[in-house]
Amino acid sequence: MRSALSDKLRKEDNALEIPQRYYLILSSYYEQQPDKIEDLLDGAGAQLWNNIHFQVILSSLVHRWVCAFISFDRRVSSDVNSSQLFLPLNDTPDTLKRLNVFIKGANKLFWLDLESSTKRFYAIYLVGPTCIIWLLLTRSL
Amino acid sequence: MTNTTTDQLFQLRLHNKIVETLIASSKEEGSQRDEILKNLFYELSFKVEEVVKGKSKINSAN
Repeated sequence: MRSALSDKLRKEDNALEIPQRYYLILSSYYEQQPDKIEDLLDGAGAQLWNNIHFQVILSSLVHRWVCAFISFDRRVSSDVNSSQLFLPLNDTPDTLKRLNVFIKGANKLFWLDLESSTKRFYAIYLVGPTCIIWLLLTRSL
Repeated sequence: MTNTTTDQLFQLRLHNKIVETLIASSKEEGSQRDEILKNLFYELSFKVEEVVKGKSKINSAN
């Protein structure tokens, strides 16, 4: 489910010379094999969802998947009429819950970088929330 | 074995390690759970130069 947006992000990463980190490698993996995200969530169980550390872990791992998911959704929705716009997000409760955790994690990573004057998680908080806002503006979730 | 295959194996091993760690942390409670997740988060933020060159320095992922 690779998209033009994902390819663009990868080129931007290279252009910005963002160093390869474990979470970047894994986020590419989950983008290419989104089914594996279910293994993560199953392993975590319900009790970890409110844990601050789990939120930042999940956010760092799935940020590329979120963008691929949203751009895929846009590609599909451009081909169909407005009554079918919700087809790719028919599992809305789960999707919203995951996006919510993702945004919380990205927010924490932004403040973590800001407080330590680093750009370790630049790719996540720059791109991820932008994709979410794009989703919210173009859909009535 | 191509570099791409090596990278995929590397990614799969990392994925398995993360799932194992999450399962282990879900069995713990309180500060012990926080400690496991915190360590996992910091490990994920480490730089990995070796992967770019196709070398599998993944002792920690075994």
